[in-house]
Amino acid sequence: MKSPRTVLKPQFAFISPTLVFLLLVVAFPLVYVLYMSTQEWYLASRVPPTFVGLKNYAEIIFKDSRFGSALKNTFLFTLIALTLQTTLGVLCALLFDTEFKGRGIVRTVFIVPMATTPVAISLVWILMMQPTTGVLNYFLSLVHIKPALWVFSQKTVLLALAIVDTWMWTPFIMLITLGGLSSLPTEPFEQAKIDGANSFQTFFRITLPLLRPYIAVAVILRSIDCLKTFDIIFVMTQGGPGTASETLNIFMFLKGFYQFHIGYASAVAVVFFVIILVVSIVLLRFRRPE
Amino acid sequence: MKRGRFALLVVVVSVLSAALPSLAVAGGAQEAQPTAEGGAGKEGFSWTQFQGKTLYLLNEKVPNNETIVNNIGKFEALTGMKVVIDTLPEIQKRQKIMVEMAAQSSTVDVYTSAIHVEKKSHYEAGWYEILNPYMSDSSITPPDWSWNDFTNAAHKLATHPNGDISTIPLDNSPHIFFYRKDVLAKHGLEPPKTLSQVEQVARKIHNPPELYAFAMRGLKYANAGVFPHTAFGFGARFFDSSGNIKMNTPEWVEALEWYARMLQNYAPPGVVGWNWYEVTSAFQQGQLGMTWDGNMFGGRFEDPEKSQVAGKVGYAVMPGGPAGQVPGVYANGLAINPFSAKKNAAWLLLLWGTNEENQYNSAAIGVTVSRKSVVADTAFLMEKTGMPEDYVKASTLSTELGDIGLPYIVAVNEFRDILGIAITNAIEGSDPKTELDLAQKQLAELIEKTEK
Repeated sequence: MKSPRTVLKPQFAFISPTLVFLLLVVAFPLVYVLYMSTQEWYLASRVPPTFVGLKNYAEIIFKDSRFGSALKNTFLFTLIALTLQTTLGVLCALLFDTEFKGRGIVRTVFIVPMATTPVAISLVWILMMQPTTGVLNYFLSLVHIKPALWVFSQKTVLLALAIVDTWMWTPFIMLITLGGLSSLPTEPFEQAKIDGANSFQTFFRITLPLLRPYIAVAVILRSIDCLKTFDIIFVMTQGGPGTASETLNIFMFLKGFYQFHIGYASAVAVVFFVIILVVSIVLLRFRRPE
Repeated sequence: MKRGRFALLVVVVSVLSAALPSLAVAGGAQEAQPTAEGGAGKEGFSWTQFQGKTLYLLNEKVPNNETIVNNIGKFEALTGMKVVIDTLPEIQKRQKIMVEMAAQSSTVDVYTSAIHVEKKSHYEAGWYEILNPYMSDSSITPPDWSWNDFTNAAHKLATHPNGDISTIPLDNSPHIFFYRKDVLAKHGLEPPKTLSQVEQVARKIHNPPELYAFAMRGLKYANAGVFPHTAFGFGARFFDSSGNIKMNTPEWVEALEWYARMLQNYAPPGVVGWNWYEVTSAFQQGQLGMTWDGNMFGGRFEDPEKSQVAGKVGYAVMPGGPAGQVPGVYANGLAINPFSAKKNAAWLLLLWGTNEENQYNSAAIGVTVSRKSVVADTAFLMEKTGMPEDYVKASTLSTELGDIGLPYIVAVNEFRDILGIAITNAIEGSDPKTELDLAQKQLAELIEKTEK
């Protein structure tokens, strides 16, 4: 019988080009960003990069109030968007799990937002959200609701952006939850029916606990995406009005590509990476069955 | 392969990949040394002395630069050179230039520079080739070319405090005052000449939602391109007498109070998200009574096919305050990449791009150009642009009275960001003095970090 090492050798030879490519594409940027984050490096200057150790990190964590504001906006946006998407996604999944006429067509139309180009659709949403000429305020006026400022006010901008994100990504949560619903065993539901449980009791005591792993997967994936959201925020508000919708990604882009502080922007990127890593680990713990 | 050897391979690849940038920069540094170029010889200047060469022009996508792009074939026929043009939007062009210059790449030979943003930062970074020696080199400059053929405004824009000239301006675009003649006439009002008169007129003509009396840019960063020269009229200046940045003086506070109040009371809702596009579109569609912005928008307002206000717009120099009228002036120019290997050939493109023919072509589409002879030809400008006399007069006078609307500092983008946030917050209701005090603190730190 051949030893495992002998069996593995030709397979390794076949995957090594891909492995080398991945190391270059993944390892190089990571190592280089870590290197840049320890430099005082202003690209629009004749002064070459200077090693400053952890100075950029100290400034980010202890001195830069705008970093704190961006961190708060990032989590607030994620919380609002995730709450809306998860609630609506699960409800829509329950709806699509029931039989009704035209279910297939409706479901197909429902997932179209997921396939749209974020930049293009953000431009459309900006037009719809114009306070004086936008169609959303027109619809509100038809039901005698006061017009909203949407993304044109510091008070409502995060909610408005979360609505756009929800419109795009609720279908994603719906699909995962629907997949989970279709794979649930039928015996607990039959037993509940025999025992006389009503719909609410069945949903909260049986359906939801059984769906938990699937919802958790969807929440983990969406929360990482929400934390990193860039396209719709950049196109619609560029972090404004003021800094009301400036998230960490927007802040990092501004520092690196508008203001050319490459070293500082790299340090923000590393801190952001650590934050996402911690959030992912915490959420993965919730996924474990009790 | 044994596990130990595999791990060694991973480490070697990672270290090599991290070391790649050093190798790239070293390679780039070698490319940065320009090679010797062909000259005119002892006979004097000749347009064809560099024939056969290819130049790379990095162009910013603005109407002011269209003439060069559209007529580049004439340069190629004149010189026997070929020009490859890469046109990018503003932000992308700046990012590309940043990458090219940081790598000391010789790919780009000539680029269009937004002087009002890039003047000092590019100069301090060594990203401009200094043009003074070229102007006086008779082997590469025609005998009939003179820097004195350009306006005083162009000289001011292109020249640094120590006399170095880094660009040849293609234009100097002032911000002028646009107002609805018909609306003011209906109310029996004269066009306002001062900022306080603007407020009085706004109070009388404001009639939402049919007509909002006044609007300006409210969007962060964009608003910092119009607010400063509005504040100049209140006597506000970027620096105090000792040369320190000072943006929270009583004049700046009064100016921001005025700006915020006008936009809160007389602008359409949502103006905090408005850039020049939204402001000029609203004016073009008849929703606004008054505004000021780049004079090139006058052409849009007079377009009978798209504009609801064609023939109804009055043009004037920006209203002033207690300290007079100081319109903002902004400019694009042509610059040579100091790392180019064809700088002498690139100089010919600068000369041709700013010649009288091209300047007349630009003026014909409404650009306020930088050559004296074209700017002074009022009859041509009125006939070719189809614009009324008050537009031409306002544009010409504004370039004489005006000043660059942004400070001469390296970190202009950060300046606009910090000031822009203060302006937006004030429009949203924050106390202007508090906002300017915070902006002043941040700007002082910024200047300390980047200028000293």
